[in-house]
Amino acid sequence: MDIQRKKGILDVCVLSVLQKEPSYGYMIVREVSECIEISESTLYPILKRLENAGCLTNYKQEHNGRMRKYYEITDMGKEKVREFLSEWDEMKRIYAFVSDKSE
Amino acid sequence: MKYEEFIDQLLEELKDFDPEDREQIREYFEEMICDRMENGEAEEEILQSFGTPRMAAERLRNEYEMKEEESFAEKKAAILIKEEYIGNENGIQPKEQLKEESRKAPVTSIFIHTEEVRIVLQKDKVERPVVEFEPREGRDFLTVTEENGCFKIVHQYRKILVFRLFGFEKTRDMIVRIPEDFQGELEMESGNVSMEVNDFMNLKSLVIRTSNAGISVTNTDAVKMKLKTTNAKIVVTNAKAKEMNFKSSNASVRMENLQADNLEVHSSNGKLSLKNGAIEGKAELTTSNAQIEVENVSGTDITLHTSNGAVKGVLAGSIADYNVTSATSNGSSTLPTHMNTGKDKNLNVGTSNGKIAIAFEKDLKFEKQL
Repeated sequence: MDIQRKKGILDVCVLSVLQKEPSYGYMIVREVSECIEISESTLYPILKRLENAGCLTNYKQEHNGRMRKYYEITDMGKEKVREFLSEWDEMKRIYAFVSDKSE
Repeated sequence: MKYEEFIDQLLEELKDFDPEDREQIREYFEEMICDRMENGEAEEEILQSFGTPRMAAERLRNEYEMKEEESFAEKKAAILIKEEYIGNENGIQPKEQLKEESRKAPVTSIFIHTEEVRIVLQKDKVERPVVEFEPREGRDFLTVTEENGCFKIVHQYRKILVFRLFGFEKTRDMIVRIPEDFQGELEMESGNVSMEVNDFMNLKSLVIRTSNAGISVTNTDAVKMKLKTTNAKIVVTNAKAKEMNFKSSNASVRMENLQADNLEVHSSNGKLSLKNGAIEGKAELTTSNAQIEVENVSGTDITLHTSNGAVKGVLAGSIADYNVTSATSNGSSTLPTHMNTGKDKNLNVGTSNGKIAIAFEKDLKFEKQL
């Protein structure tokens, strides 16, 4: 996928992974990778950006004698995911229109 | 390589970041690597998946650029009080413009911010800037204000992500008619649209910021000229300024016929070329993974730095006019590594994995275009 198009959609993918429970860097990369390619170096700025935008918060928790950072989605983050899903209806209409005209 | 070493090198590449930010990046990578090792991956394998520290830094930086732009837009929008615009056959004008008293101050600065809308400047016989743009119901928000000679146009729009993903949003234009004799500060910023400025003389300053799209400036003269984009080239032809500052990434910067007191050009992974440059003081051209080419360039303090690329070209004067410092590894060089002539001109050239081929010509003449 085109890099520019991929940006933005990664944000939503990361947020959606956090919807069921808070998670940490490594796990987020693993889960998001199932759907779209993401590297660790790309994830960091995304987390930072989402946090600055108020879409997630973080806390530290001990794991095997070291600290691990967990990210938790906020209401605003959930709203972003909802927004994305609602856009899809708009997209489907266009898709139907284009496909109809192409028959 | 041990992972601590990898992280050190990565942070070295990000020296310009805040110390706090760098500390967080360290923690983040440490945690990531520990988690992956716990999961049975070998250290070596993990580091390999990151690429070189430079590549990891570059990816991080590319994602960051976007963050920077967004927060900038938010900041600018926050200081503006939402104001209704008035549209008529003469375009869109701020409300206050109707009030007689606000007409007293001449417009000394024009600030235009758009989101993915191309800004088309037109010089015209108008007293004040006039905006021509059709906002879409519920999607475009346009604010035009004027205060103490500062004319601000801020456009924002509700992005529909899936449209952008499939490239359904077509580029739209905003035409801004500018008084012919405008000689103040001009600042334009946007993203994903190219920017062009032609034939503006005697500006106080020209600032252009965009991303993923090119910038072109022709026949223009400003006290301060600052151009910045990412992933796209910058082309400047026939320009004059006291201070010039051009920055791109992953793309070239091409300059021809420049006059400046100081010139600073930076790209990464993009070629830099300067043909006919009369620089009074500092001329600093730096990039990486690309070559630097100069032709007919003069300056009293010249720095040409890259890595994995050649530095070549012709400078004005004679080598004896300069204190020279140069360095290359894995390449030939026509310059001495150190030469102190005691003169007041400095030349500093460096690359690694590339040759240095700088020649001098005494009688270079620069035909002033402006």
